[in-house]
Amino acid sequence: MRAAPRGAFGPISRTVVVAILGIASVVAVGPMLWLVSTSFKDRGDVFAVPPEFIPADPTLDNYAYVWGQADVQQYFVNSLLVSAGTVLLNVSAAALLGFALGRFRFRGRRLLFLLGLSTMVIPFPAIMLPLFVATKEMGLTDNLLGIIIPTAAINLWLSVYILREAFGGLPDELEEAAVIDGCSPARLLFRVMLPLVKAPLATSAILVFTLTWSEFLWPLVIMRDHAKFTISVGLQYFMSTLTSNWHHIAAIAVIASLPVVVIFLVLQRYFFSDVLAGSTKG
Amino acid sequence: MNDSALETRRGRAARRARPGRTWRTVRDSRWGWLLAVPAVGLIGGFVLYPALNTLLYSFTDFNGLTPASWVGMRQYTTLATDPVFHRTLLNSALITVVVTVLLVCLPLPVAYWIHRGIPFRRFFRTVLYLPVVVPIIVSSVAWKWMLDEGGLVNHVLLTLGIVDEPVSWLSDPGWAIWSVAGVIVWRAFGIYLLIYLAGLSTLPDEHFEAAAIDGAGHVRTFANIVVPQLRGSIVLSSVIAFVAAMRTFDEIYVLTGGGPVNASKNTAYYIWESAFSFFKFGYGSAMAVVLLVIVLGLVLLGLRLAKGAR
Repeated sequence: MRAAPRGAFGPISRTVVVAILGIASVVAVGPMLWLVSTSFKDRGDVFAVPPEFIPADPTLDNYAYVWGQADVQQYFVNSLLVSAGTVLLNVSAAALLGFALGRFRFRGRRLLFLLGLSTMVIPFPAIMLPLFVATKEMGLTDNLLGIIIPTAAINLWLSVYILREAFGGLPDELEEAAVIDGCSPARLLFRVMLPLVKAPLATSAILVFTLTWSEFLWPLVIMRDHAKFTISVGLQYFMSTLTSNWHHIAAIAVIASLPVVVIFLVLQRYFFSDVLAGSTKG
Repeated sequence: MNDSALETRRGRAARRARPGRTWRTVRDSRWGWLLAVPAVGLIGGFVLYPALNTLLYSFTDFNGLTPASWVGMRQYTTLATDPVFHRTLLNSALITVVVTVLLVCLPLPVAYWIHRGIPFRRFFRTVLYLPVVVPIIVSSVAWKWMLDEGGLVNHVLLTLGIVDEPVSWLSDPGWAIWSVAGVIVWRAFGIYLLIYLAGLSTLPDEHFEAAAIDGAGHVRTFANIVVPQLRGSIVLSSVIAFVAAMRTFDEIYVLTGGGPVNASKNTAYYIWESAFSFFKFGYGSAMAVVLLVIVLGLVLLGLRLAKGAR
């Protein structure tokens, strides 16, 4: 973010705006903080009236209890594997196509764009039923690959867009030098250009990771075997079985959010980078 | 041989050897398509092929397991007289209109404030984006608990004297769908804030300096500079919000289960329910085709209107 000019707001408007944004912030993080607070309470304090915002007697028992359930650990590992696998497949395919679209002018380029844009506007429920049947025929239900491959395809265009802008923005001199040296496009991509687009690669990897971690409908549809649930599906499964044990549900919910929240807080510069600015040119 | 011919020939040779050649100017499609193979395979196999199959299924009585037989337009004629389907279309429309309008409009002034350097802007940006990162199921679970009749939301509203008695946010047929819409807006707000901040970062500062010299206040600067200059971002936001709202599923699944009695059930949810609770893949596919046609049609119409208005 660039340094904005000082004094763009007068004292009154500044106060009003900060107050509005302050209230908005409370609304934005309130529900999460309430879950965190509940996850440290024991059963008796969960329904206390008036509600305890900060647990009077915080306990780690809920975490010990739910983490001790082997299922929760399995769900967590499944989510990690699914998200990492999806990122790998998605970003690899997107890097190749992004390089082609950013550096080459070839017949059929517009067709590829049309193909990609169609994935942005086709709502997932409209393709879900045949996708389920196809996944079943390939023997990939109850298999993490059954989540990874379709999820990588559905989010592909986000990464292609980011990487096309990145490759297209590199200086032409790199490519001219490569042509003179008689170096092939593959060599140019892997040896010269890929190391120069690390930040956009990281941005797409992080965005796809968080999107996949949050994915719910598709894993819900294709996973019947409890050992293959992702943490989102597992959390919802726990909800349906332990209806009133909110202190346990809250602890699982916090565990389910931890990796993505930590990634966001540590790597936020990638979320707010100028990499995304190109996609909004109208 | 005169000088000018020599010059031309030399020029041509020089041009051939000039280091200005890139693949952008060489029309070689072999490499382009070769590099596109994995991506085209993924999109073709896992998005376009299923989309075509949805159309095929919609003309059958497929139950997801045993071989299907062709039933022509029967699924569509059943849809035309299914009151539940009509209700889900209406609910999809209500959710989509409210969610799209709020998500396109509300983040705009916030992005302007943050871009123009309001105090604590990094903090606000981070906090307002946080709900996007948290898994949808987690935030839906948090809201389900908070919106419970004895939950935190009613407690706060009663304490502040805004309501006199607890509201059944999720089990009152009049409220359920608006609670769902509200949770979606709460969760997705940060995405559109991000899009607008990215758009604003491409605007030259001179726009704002010129406006300040002209004595334009914030309202005029916002209306005359920010909104027109962010046209592209606003169109992009509208399309993304519209498509995402039409496919809403997770929030409905956790918060209301489509209830009470279909009051918050949308078409996406009904497709899932038809296929995976009642094994009506053919029927669900017919709904999916209707959904697809509506979404694609309205996106194309909207983009055309946006282009025409420029």
